[in-house]
Amino acid sequence: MRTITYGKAISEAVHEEMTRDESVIVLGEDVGLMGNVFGLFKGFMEEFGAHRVIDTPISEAGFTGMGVGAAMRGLRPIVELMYVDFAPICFDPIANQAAKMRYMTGGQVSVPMVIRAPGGAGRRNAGQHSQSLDTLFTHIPGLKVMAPGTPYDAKGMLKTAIRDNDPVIFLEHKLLYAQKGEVPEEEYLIPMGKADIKRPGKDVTIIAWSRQVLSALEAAKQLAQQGIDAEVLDLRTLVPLDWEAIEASVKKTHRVVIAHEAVKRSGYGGEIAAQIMEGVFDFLDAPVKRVAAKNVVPPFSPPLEDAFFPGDKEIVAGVLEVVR
Amino acid sequence: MAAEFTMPQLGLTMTEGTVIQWLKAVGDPVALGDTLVEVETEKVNYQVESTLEGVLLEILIPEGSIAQVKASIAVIGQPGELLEKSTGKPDEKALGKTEATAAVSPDPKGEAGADLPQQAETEVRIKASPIARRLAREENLSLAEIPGTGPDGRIVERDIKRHLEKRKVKVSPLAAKLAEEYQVDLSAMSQDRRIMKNDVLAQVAQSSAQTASVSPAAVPLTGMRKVIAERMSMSWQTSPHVNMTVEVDMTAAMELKEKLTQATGQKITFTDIIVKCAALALKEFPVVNASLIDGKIVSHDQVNVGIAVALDNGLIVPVIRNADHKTVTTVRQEIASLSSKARSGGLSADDMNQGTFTVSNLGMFGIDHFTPIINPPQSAILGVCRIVDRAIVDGGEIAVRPMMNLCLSFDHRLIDGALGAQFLARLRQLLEQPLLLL
Repeated sequence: MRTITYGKAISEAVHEEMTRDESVIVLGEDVGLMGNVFGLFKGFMEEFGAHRVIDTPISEAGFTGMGVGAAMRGLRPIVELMYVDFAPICFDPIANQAAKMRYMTGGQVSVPMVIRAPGGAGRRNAGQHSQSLDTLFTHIPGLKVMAPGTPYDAKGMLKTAIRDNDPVIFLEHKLLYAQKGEVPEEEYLIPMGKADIKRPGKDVTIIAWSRQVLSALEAAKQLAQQGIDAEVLDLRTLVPLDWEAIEASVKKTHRVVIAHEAVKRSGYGGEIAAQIMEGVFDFLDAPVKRVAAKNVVPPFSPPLEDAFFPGDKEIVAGVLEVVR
Repeated sequence: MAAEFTMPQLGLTMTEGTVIQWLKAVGDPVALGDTLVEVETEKVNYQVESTLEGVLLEILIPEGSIAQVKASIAVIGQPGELLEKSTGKPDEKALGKTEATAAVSPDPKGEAGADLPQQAETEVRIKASPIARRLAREENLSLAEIPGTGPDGRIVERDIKRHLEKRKVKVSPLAAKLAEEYQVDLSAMSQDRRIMKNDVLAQVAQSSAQTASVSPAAVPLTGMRKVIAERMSMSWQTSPHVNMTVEVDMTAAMELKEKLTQATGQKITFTDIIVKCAALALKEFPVVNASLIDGKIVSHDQVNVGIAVALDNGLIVPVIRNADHKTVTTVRQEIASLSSKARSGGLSADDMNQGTFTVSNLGMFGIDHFTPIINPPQSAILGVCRIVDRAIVDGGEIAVRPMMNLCLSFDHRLIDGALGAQFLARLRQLLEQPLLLL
């Protein structure tokens, strides 16, 4: 099997879907002439035309709304927010229009759009360019939310998201674009709402997504040396949540650590912890532990930024707490 | 801030200890390392040193009482300091199986469902994880009796599991069956690992060795006699026994025995030399050292030779492990020690386990030939007969030599006649030319 980067995987997914279905279009800042700030869509404008790869002005509210309208009228727009930090600017078209149109029209229209946005810290991009805003989206009924952590997952999940008839928030990670992984040549899809056990184990379940999956796997290696066998459960899709996978894992290990890059307060980890408490309370041998970013503005100063978001060391410490 | 001194884990399997004597009184100063208390465990008494410094403020577990490992047994600090949650009386969790807590033990039939009434009465909220509470509920355990090893003394799953393991005596199904037949009290056999068949048999052998010999006319088979009867029947019925005899010229062996006895100061016997020779021969013929178990040939990389020892009302077979690696002198010492243990009923299961071959010497009774029965799961047994001067023909002339018969019985399922013969021939050769042992 060949090895490609996460960025290439996303590029291939979009390319394949645009080739397969003429109604798929891409819009966002610098996606056309520049081919995306991370180079993901180089050559796409030339290949598919300026009517399908659209360079927008710096106007998230405007072009996200445009995406909603285009989707309601039969296109499949892939709207790109250059950084997820810009979502607050266009939150109304996302939360009040895209998420609710199908319900409020009694099913007369659907909004088959994908909003792609990279988040994540570690690139010294400072407060307004380093956040992970998962919770804003998971909180809005009517939105599906995906967050792949590997190239294999990214490609299969993005194709599914593009073919989905509902709005999907596709959360990428700016530091994952360069990560390599095995991706088949043949076409494949990863179903919506299906978690993946990246590493089976029996002593503790580490629930993670996006870049924290890599941190969790690294933590699991270190924990194995201490005789602790950690199961790493990659949620992949945040909404809808794969409850069966979580339930099965907790019933096996009895201990949970949830690791996410978003800030701890009101992070999605709290929601999952509450569901675990409600669903499998009698199987827990310790409180559910959340490992997350600190409740501060993401710092610019490198050592401060590194102290801000979690990594394998914090996950190891979290696990050691729950196995005591 | 005063601190709790807890019952230390003094051994890997220790779960509780008895306070024998407090070596400091309340109000005495305590330095780090001062001997604080004497504790008795299953195995031995310990003088426990203090890991805290200050003054002994409170003794929570009085002399003669039991405390679980990690439970608080004393409070040490500066005069006037209090523990955060000191109630002045011992922690419910700390008291183990003393009479005082007998009333707290739940009725196994379970009078209450989810919440045992006793828990509502305790002032201190017992911390336990959800799964620990559920398991305790399901197994009708009182959380008050179970020490918690989780954070802050929380009772967690492993504490419940440990408690349940302790509650039941771990026995293999076969051992349980044997114990019932031979009326062995399993709870009286304290050992850390699971009780297996051989442990029960050892127990049976030991208790038999100690019973009186007076008995009425028609006695049912019990104890060791019964075990022997069953094992011998099973062996005879399962293994097609082939019996093979050779006459061995013991001249050289006798000389060796004299010389070794002089050189070592140990009273070397012929059995010692025979065991050594047999061990070497077994190394050369590994099939004779092997076992047939469940239709599979099981090879053994150790040569463990058992010596049949006659007892008043039966026989027992202690084992010399790795006999091929041991000198004749070492073999002598081990046989001496094992025999005396056998006669005094002091053999353990480990002394009798894992034999791969047996030597049975009836020479002292003047026997010239016999057909020993194989000791399962071994595949062969060597019967040793008396040494007697006989007239033999050597170089066309009659000579007198000390001759001894060796009677080998072997299992023809595993060992063919030719192989058995080769083994026995080699054994004779080693005995007749002991220099080959070098």
